Parts: sequence; structure tokens; C-alpha cells
Amino acid sequence: MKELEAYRNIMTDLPEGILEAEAEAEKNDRISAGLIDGSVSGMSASDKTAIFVRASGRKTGTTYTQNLEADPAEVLLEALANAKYGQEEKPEIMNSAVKMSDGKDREHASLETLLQKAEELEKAIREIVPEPSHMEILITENLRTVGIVNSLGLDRTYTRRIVETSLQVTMEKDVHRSLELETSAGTVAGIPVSYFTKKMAEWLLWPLHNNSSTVGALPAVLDGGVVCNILLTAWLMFSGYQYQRQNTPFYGKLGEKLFSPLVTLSDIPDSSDYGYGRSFDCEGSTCRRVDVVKDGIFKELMHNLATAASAGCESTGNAGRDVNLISDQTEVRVIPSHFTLCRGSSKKEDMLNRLEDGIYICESFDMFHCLNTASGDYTIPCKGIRYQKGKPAGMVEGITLNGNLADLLKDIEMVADDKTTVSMVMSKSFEVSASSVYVKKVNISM
Amino acid sequence: MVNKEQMQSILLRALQGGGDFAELFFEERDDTIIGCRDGVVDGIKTKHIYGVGLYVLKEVRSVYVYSNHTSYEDLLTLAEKAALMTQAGINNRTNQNLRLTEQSFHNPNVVIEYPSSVSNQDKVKVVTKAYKSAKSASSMLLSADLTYYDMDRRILIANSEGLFTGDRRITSRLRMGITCGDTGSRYFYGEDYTRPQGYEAFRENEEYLEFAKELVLRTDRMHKAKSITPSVMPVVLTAGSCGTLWHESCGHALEATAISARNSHFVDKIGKKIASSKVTLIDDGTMPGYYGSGAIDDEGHKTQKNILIENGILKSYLCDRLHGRMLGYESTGNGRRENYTFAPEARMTNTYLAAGNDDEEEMIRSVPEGLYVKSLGGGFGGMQFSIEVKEGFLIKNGQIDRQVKGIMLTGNGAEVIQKIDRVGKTVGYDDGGFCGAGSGLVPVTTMQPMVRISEMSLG
Repeated sequence: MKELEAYRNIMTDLPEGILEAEAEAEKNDRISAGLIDGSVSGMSASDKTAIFVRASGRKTGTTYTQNLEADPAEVLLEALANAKYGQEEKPEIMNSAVKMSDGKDREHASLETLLQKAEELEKAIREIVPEPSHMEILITENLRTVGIVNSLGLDRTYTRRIVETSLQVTMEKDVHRSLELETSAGTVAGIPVSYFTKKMAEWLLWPLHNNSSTVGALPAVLDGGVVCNILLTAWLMFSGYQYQRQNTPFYGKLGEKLFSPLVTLSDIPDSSDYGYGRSFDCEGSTCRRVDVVKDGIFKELMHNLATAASAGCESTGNAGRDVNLISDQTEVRVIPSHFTLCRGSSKKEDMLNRLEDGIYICESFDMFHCLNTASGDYTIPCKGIRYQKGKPAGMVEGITLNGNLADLLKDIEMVADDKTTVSMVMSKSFEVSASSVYVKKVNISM
Repeated sequence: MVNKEQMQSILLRALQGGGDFAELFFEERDDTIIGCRDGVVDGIKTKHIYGVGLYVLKEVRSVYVYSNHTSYEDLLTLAEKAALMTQAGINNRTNQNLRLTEQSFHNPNVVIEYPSSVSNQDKVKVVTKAYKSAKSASSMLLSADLTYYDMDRRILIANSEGLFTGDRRITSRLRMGITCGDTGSRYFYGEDYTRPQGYEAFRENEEYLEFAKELVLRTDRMHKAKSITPSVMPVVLTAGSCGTLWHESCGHALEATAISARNSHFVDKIGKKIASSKVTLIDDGTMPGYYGSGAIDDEGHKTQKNILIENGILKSYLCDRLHGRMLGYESTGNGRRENYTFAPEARMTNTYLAAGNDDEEEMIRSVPEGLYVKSLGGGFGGMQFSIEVKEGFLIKNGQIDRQVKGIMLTGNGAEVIQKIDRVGKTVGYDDGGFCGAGSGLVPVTTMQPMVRISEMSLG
């Protein structure tokens, strides 16, 4: 990775005062193409490389730079100077010698390929929604290359292809409404057009009249997208960092059976099914699958080097920086790569058919303010379709799901074989996926 | 850094694909970040953002490219890429007489102590003193994560209309994440103390210490509050930062990005009555001492005061250049972006409901059963909006009663703003925070006088 070359060279001849050092570079090379109401727009091409540097004397300091012209020695010395006010009187742990490259020098798909896919998607949507008042499609392909070198001989790189597709459709005939969908994939060819067309067809079937008799405890089907929105925050509860600070309702409960036996929550860092995998984390630790919950049992936590050391175990390869919307990007915390509620074997149609008197929660909003990760309490604004006598009886808007996540996970009785995948908003640092679930009861309020 | 003549060449090269407008956006930003986890300072971190974005418009089509390779040769290559993406392979001769003329605009936020002039020792003191203040507040404190931030952001904009301008924005912030509770239960809450100032935000007064203490006490009270049966009732929101109501219920829906996508109830409604006659809503990026203010927006347009709704009548949308074009409007000085990796979009700055004439005490006294909201958390805007109630209290028989928790205000924004039946006399201040949308995180404030909504769903 050429952006790391100068840092690689300096690792064998560190500036005075620096005992150990490490530089990690993350390069995001993106192209985008899209359609707005059938016309080409939103074209973009970009590359941004960020370099994270740690330098240790008695203590370890950190700096981050996007200035690729900066002198590496000066950058290392700046990092070391930053260590001065740290109160931990020991250097941070760094990984030792592993030399590995995945050897994949990937090339971008062409912009024409992206546009062709956008046109294919647009055509498929127009077969379902012939006259939208507005339709916007954007496809972005990111070649993410990560490299890390340090003075202990660590030298690793990998490249991943991540393709993200967003669709926004507005209709104003009869009722003014709008639907926004996003998903990620590992290739342009892998963009799941059927995911969008299924959701669009489902959206059109939503009854337009409101049914206000929907409060109280009801059995429910939660769409995979709704579960994804929960997971975008809920993963924090299984982070070694949060656990060690007692900022999770599951503190002290490792090894206990807490949830439905159908619930397996895992971080899966490498799969050909999707793009947000990684071979190693931002500390150079090899990523591995982490089953935080297996068959309902709270099994393990996601760790970086520091939290693993505190727990007396190995890092799981979950070091990362962009934890939430306003992370500062410099601090190493714990993040997932691809956090998922593992697929089940049930069919979503069977779940809906089971709803004699219940609700199908088809869409939820505001993934970041509805769940308190210390208590597990949630209040999630959403939309649903009321089911009565086994049939859709009306759309309900302006409702909220209220309860505690531990109870929700305990009450899951079916997990579907579908899958929805969404990436972390804005930071694009990880993604989550989930299947639709049938829950014995949820509390609904209006 | 390339010089002015080189910028002219780059812009002209970018226009060779047939574009009618091109803009270079240079950014350099230096941040200092100091973390303190349960009283242990984990050192200083420094962050340097550096890069350039190039925007090309052809009527209502757009191309955006960016990089942090910023040599003249790199930028010419970037411009060629943009030109090719604008219109594949067509070389159009454009106006070769582009001349960049420097313009400067006054930033309403005055800075006294620039971050680079302050010792790290003094900055570390902010988190250590704030932690001591937090710790002294309550024995129910389980953990406190404090982070000090200062930011020095310099932007430079050059465009094919000859504009050459820039701005320097300094902010300071103390982020606090507090967990209160006991072995049985715990509750987490986070909030920011923000100032569009340099270090004088901490040196000249110690409001941040009071903020730290109060935050712990508030978190403890929120932890102990009980939930309520969800229902529909009148809601009174106190003056100040409860203005988030306007940000989420209609602010985003008035941004040209939403209007041009027809993803708003306010499409084609200019001149029509869309809200209660008591509602006059303003967005103003020129206000001194406010987090959302600046000399210019991120397209070089001077910031301005925009009256969005006046006595219930829709007067204006918030426009950036591109989305204003789509709608046939000029920019309103609201083209904003988090950094050079984003194309600008229409975003709010300092958004507030103008003061009215109603008596604040009567607003509560005349409510037999309702909700009084003292503070709001984050939310989500759109045709359907939601906002987290952080500190809410029941109103019973015209009196403020017990504290409650776990409430979201949800609704259809277009309906809610028609149900404003009281607007108080004094607009309260808001420190400000961040709004996240298509062009990233931008600093904003949201303010209001005390208001009452005649009825609203509480979930």
C-alpha cells in the first residue's frame, strides 16, 4: 500500500524517544452513479486516505492525519508528545510480527456498470410503481484498503469491495408517501434487486386507511429492517468495552441463558455474501467470528487488545474507531464488522399467517435514540399493519414499540430465512443484518 | 496548496465536459481531543483533516469528486475525471476568462483564545475538573466518560463565477456520557456542552462545571422516573433547546433536498397556510454566539436570515445551489457539509420559533392532564418525525407533577405544527449540537419560546 511506504521505512529507524510505533492507513476509493427520475445524476469519484499513528515511549500517544505530505517522523513525534498527559503509566499493547497481504488488487467496476445496474433496478421498480412522483437511485462502490505496519514487524493489508445501493420512491397519488431503502453487497452483480422489489410490492400493499385500535400487548412480526435498526445500537451491549464499564443490562450474566433458543447473534467478519468484512482490525488482530449469543445463551464479548487483556483472553479482532454518529475517529474502541441475527428456517409468509390478532411492524425510524444501551429499555417509533382474524386490517402510523430488549429477545418464537443488510449511517464503519422475527408479544402505543 | 491561477485552470478543466458551474472546496482542520474515563485521562489525540472537493453542475445534474491528494497535477487529474463524468468525452470550450476575485465576509462568532495558543495542560484541566464536579454530584454515578474537543476549521472556496472566499470556524465542546444506577438497574445519558468559541469557553467562566454536575443529577432523576401509559394529550415544551421540535417536525421537510425529492408535506405550498397562525419559524446563520453560525455557507454564499414560516404561511425553503436550481430558487446560504468528502446540501443553521404573546404560566395552568417537557434528546425528521423526551413531567390539574421517562413524541409534522395553540414571550437559548443528514454532521442550534401543542401522541 503506497500510502504506508514512508511509515514502513521509518519503523526500522524510529525517531529518538520512540520505543515502539504503529501506523494504520485506511483508504476508501469510491465511485458512485445514479438516476434521478430516469436521468443520470449523482456521479462521483473520490479517494481518501487517513493515517492513524501510535507512538510509545513510557506511554502511548495517538494522532490522525489526512495530510499525506506530512513527514512521518514529525507525525510520530507528534503522537509521542500527545502521550505526555495520559495517566496510564504503561504503553498500549501492539501486535507483533505478522506479514500478510490478501494479495487482491481489486479494480473498480466501471461507471457504466453501475449505471446499468441502476437502470435495471429502476425498470424493476417501475413495473411495480408505474408513476412515482420521484425516484432516486444511487449505487456506490467502495474499494477499501487497509494496511498496518509497526515496529514489531507487523505488516498486513487487505482490500474489500463494498457496494451500497439506496433507493427513494415518492408517490402522491391517493396518499403522499415516501419510502427509502438501503442495502449493501459485495459486488455490483450481487445487488439484491429482488430485495427492493419485494419491499416495494409490500409497501404498495399497505392499506391506506388508519386503524386506531392498536394499543397494548400484541403478537408481532418485526420486519428484518426493523430488527436491523435495533441492532445498529444493540450491538454495543455485547462490546467488551461497554461490558467492562457495566454499561449493559447483561453485565455479570456471561454464560447464562438469557434469550430465546432461536436467537444467535454473531459478528461475522468475513463472508462472500457481503462487503463489510475485514481480515484484521485496526490494531492488526485477526478477525474471527464471535458468537456473542448462541442459541439464546450469552456466550462471549467482542474485544480489542485492551479489553481482551482486562478480560484475560485474546482479542477477537473487533478493534475499531467509529462507534456511533459522533465518534472522534481517533480513539480505538470495539466495533463489529458484520453483526447479525443469524437466519432461521421459517418463512415470513408463515409468520404473517400466524398473526390472528397482531401486528406486522414493517418500518421503524430513528435507530439511534430509541434504545438505552445501559438499561435495554426501548421506545421505537414505527409503522405497522394491523392484523385481525389473520388478515391485514389497516395501516397504523405514529405508533411506538415499548419495552426492554432482553424481553424482546426472549419472546422470539420464529426467525425467518430472509435477510436485510444495512450499513452504519454516515461513518460506514460496519454493517448489520437480520431476519424477520415473530415475537410472542410486544407493547404498542399510539 | 495550489495558487489562485492554478485554481482557475483546474476549474476551467472541470468545465470542459459541458458543465455550467464548478467549485473547489479546500479544507484544513485541526482537532484536539482529550478523553477522561472515570477520572483517568487517556492522553491527548490530535486529528488533521485535509483535502479538497470539486463540484460540477450541468443544469440540475451534478458530479462530485474529492481527494486528499492535493498537488496541482493531482487536482488537474481530478478535474478531468469530473469533466468526463459530466458529459462523456465531449470537449466544450468554456469561458477562458475566469478570474477569481477575493471576497471576505464577517464571521459573527468572535474567538479570543485560538486552540493552538492554549497549552495542553490547560485543556486537560477541563476534563479533570469536570470529572471532579460530576463525581461530587451523586453517589449513584456508575461511570462518566468525558471528552474535550476543540476544532479549528479553515475552508477556502473558489468557483467558476469568480468567487474566491473562505472562513475559519472555531468550536469547543465537552462531551459527557453518564451512567447512573445501582446493581439492579442502570441508565445512560449523554449530552454536549458546546460553544462556538475558543478556550475562553472554559477559561472565562465555569459554567461547564455546573453543566457536569447538573447532567449527573438529571441522569439520576431520569433513571428513577417512571414510565406512563401512552396516550394522546396536550404537550407543553419549555423554552430553549426544546426547539428540536421544529427541527424534526418541519425543519428537514423544508430543506430543498427533501422538497426536490417530493419527500415532504410542504411541496408546492409556498404562500399557503401550513401551520397555526402563532407560528413564525426562522433559520438564521448570522447570529453571533450561536453554534450554527458562520460567515458563509460551505458554497461561499453569505449566511442570511431566512423566514421560513410567517404567521403560519409558508414563505421559503432552505436552499443550496443545486437543489435551489431544481426548484427554481436562489441559494439561501444554507449549502452545508460536514467536510470536503460531502457535496453540499441544504441544511439548517440556527432555527427558532419567534416569540409570541401568550402567558407561560397559563399554558400549564389551563391543562387538566398533559405532559410538560423540560428537555428533548435526539430525533428523526421526515414526513413522519420522532423525538426522544429526556425530561418529561406529567401535568395534573394545571400543576407540574411527577417525572416520567421512556417517551417519544411522534407524529406527522404537517399536522403537529397546526396544533400549536400557545407561544410564549421569550425565546430561550440553545447551546447547540449536531444534525446528521445527507451531507454529514453539521453544527446547529434549535430554539423556541415555551409552546403548547393542543394534542399529541406520546409513545
